[in-house]
Amino acid sequence: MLVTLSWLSRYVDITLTHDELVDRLSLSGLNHEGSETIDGEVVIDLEVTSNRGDCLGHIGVAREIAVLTDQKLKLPMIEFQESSKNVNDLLTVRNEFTDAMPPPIPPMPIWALIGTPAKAAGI
Amino acid sequence: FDPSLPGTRPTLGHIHPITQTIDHLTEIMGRMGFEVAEGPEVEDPWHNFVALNIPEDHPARDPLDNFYLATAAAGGPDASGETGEGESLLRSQTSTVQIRVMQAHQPPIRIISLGRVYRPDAPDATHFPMFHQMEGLLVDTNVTMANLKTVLRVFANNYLGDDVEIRFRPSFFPFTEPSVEVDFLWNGTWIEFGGAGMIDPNVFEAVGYDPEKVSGFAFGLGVERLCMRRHGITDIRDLYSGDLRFLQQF
Repeated sequence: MLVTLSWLSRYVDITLTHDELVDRLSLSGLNHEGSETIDGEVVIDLEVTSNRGDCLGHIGVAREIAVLTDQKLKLPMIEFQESSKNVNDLLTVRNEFTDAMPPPIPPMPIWALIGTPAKAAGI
Repeated sequence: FDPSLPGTRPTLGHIHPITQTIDHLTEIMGRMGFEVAEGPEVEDPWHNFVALNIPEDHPARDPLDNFYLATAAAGGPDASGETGEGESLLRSQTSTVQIRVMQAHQPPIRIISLGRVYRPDAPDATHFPMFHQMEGLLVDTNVTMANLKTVLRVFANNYLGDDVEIRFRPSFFPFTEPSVEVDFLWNGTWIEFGGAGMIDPNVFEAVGYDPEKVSGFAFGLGVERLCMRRHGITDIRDLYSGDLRFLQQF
């Protein structure tokens, strides 16, 4: 996973130097595979093991850094305007490969699936 | 015929540096009570992946990252046809031997296994499609990570000499939990040694052990890396070139 300090600093305050940071990350499970300088930016290559899918993005790595350095994570606020058009006016979706999808579960009250507490207790 | 001339020296063969390294490692681990176990180089996906708790969608099973054998897929019932895998492959790790040993014996188990593994890598100075690994496995009651660290530290001290420091870094392998990567301190820098960890309970269940009763650890190291470091070899391809000028130095 390639990350840059400038992008990470959008989500967390980076209080460590590059060397300290990659050391801390290596010792917490994101092994430092190398750093390159491209166009004046330092690009850090981290090894993301398959149990750390959360680190396959800058926000995930920033979260890790926030925990390691006791900082707060600054999540970006996404604002958008809801369009006045209804999506069904613009396009329709039809599933032509029903084999790939299981039949839809009809809406059921939750107690039908997990039983009432009394039933669960065996009364 | 002039008998005072010096005789012709008989040409003696040389033991390959990898073989020498394997013998040396076997001897060090043997002193700690580890026996040698061997396994086949052609494995089936059950031994190489399923029993080792590697799920079907794990990148390690990617057909591009393993040498699946075409002849096997052509023959027998292709039960795993949907995964794109065949019925057998050249093993990608020596951890397969752990499974075979645990199926055949009851704990306590203390084995190492050294052998060839195969991964499709373009050959360059540090990669080769065929290389060697050493696998270690210890299963008993009350085995802890402290035991793992001690075994590795004693091994490192014996192999690398001096008082070598080793460290664990958290990592992940599907067949160990927790998993670590092991580094040793050499000339002031930390060099990667291999991977290790406590055996995942799913692996114990796959071989029929009770994870509540036994625990164990396993570790795996690359033999080429140790050999190249010890002898100052810089290109792994020299080891497999069959060049006598290279081999005669050992």
